[in-house]
Amino acid sequence: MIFWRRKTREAELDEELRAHLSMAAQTRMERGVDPEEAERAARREFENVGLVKEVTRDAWGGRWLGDLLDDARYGLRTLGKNPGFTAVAMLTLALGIGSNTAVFSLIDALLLRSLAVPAPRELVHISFGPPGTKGEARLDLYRRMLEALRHAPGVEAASVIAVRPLGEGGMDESAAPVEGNGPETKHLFKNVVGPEYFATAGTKVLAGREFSQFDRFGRTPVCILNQAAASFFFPRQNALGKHVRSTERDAKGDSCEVLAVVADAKYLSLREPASPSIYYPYEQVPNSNWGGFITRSHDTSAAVAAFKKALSRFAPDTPLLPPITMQRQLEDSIGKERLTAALSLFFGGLALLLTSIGLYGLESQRVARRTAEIGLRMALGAQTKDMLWFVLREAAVIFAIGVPIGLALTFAASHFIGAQLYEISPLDPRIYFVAVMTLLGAGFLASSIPARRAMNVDPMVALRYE
Amino acid sequence: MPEKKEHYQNRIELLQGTLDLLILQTLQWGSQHGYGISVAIRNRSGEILQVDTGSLYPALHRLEKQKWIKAEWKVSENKQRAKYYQLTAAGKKQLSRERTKWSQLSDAMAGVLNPEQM
Repeated sequence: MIFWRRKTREAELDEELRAHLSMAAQTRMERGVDPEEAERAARREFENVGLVKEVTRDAWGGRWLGDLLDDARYGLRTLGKNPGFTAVAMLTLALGIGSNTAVFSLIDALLLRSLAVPAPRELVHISFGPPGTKGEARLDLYRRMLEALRHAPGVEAASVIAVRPLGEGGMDESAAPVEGNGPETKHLFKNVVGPEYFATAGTKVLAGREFSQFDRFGRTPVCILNQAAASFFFPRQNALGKHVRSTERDAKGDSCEVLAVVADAKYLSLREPASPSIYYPYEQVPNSNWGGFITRSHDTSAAVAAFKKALSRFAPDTPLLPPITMQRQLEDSIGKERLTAALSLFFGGLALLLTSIGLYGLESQRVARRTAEIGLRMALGAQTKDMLWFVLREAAVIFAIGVPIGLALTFAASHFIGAQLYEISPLDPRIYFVAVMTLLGAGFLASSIPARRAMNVDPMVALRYE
Repeated sequence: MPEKKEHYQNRIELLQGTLDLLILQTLQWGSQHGYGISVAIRNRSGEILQVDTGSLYPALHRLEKQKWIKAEWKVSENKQRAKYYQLTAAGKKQLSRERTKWSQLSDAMAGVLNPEQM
């Protein structure tokens, strides 16, 4: 529509000026000048038709598609003349997008997504070596240690945990629902936890209640499912009060009553979705290796000191294993992403810097070559913003063409990038937006400095330049 | 040579303002095409004012954009298709504003140049 209008306007302007010329010639002929001479004189008087058209077009205001097409052609020619620069610009876009993707995924991993635990800085996992006791004696040691931890200064909550989130490995168990149509066996991620574990870790209990100190050996066997497991075993039903039985070979038909459904949390890897999980109370799994303790407190070192003191009192021969905060655990588990992001950020930044310098050099050279033209246009009354666009449009075209090519390159590389990133697709539009905006900002800065210089050219200096 | 530059720019600016007034005034007597306007200005100014096409057409198109004049294609007496411009209602108001401004300016100029007559 706009293009069509432009065409009409262009044709009308053409006809308008032609009419002027022929009328001027006509007047001369009426005065007796011969036709050829009349036309030449009219043309002479008219000055430069092309220039008149151009300044008239400027009065239309707004840049129309025709100008944009001209600009695009111009930009393409420039790109063709500077293949090195073009290649660097494309590469920068690709690298910039890649590095921004990595950085974004890291920020995402650390800040944005709900992880296994919401307050990783406050959680510390403490454990000790083999206690050398078994059965009731060992249970008793755990109870005493847990009691000591809970009463330690600054400790808000504490519990027992067999497999800590994002620790090393895990346990699994195949299980099936007792109620419902036919046994559908499923491999579950299995964990053994103490009373108030979910409150300590900050995992939401969606329905039912947590294990308490009364869920002991000899009482009704109970278990807790995460949402993924509950909706698999009991789709569109309330899982509370239903039963799940172990289908392991040594299980002998044991089943447990579902006490609660909790939110999905990641234990094995941040890169994969949370597995369907089942939790058992540690006092009902006497032969399991329960692992360690988890505490939540603002001062994690005080909790560790209290634990140490209690351990030397109740089990002086048992060594304390190095405690680890959940924060540390998280950082360790995304170490690869961290390295990738740091490296990409470095190379992306370097490439961005090089391209900005290249663009700056190219633009200043172009502006220097055209000092005369720019000065003349300014003297003829060209507006500052027109000149700014005059200088910037080349950069704009480089970006208009470079961005899609850079994006295409990144799409091609996305398969590789995707394998390295956690929970983020390299095709995520937000990432491209951030990357492209960053590059546009850098490009604009690099071009606006020579542009500003061009506008300050003194017309007289510019004219003497030739 | 900063004075020279200043002088140059002033001349351009002054010309632009007066040209609008000249065009609007010329169109008060009826619709006219670009060539007709330039001839009319030249004749009425006793050949003093020569409007070059490089200033005339941008001014016409600018005034049209501001809706002070509107254009229409008509055939001239010489059977030549031409774009005729005519004043709009807004253009008439603008003309009287410009005239007031101009007479103030010329009075002021006269006052400065011939102080004894005031």
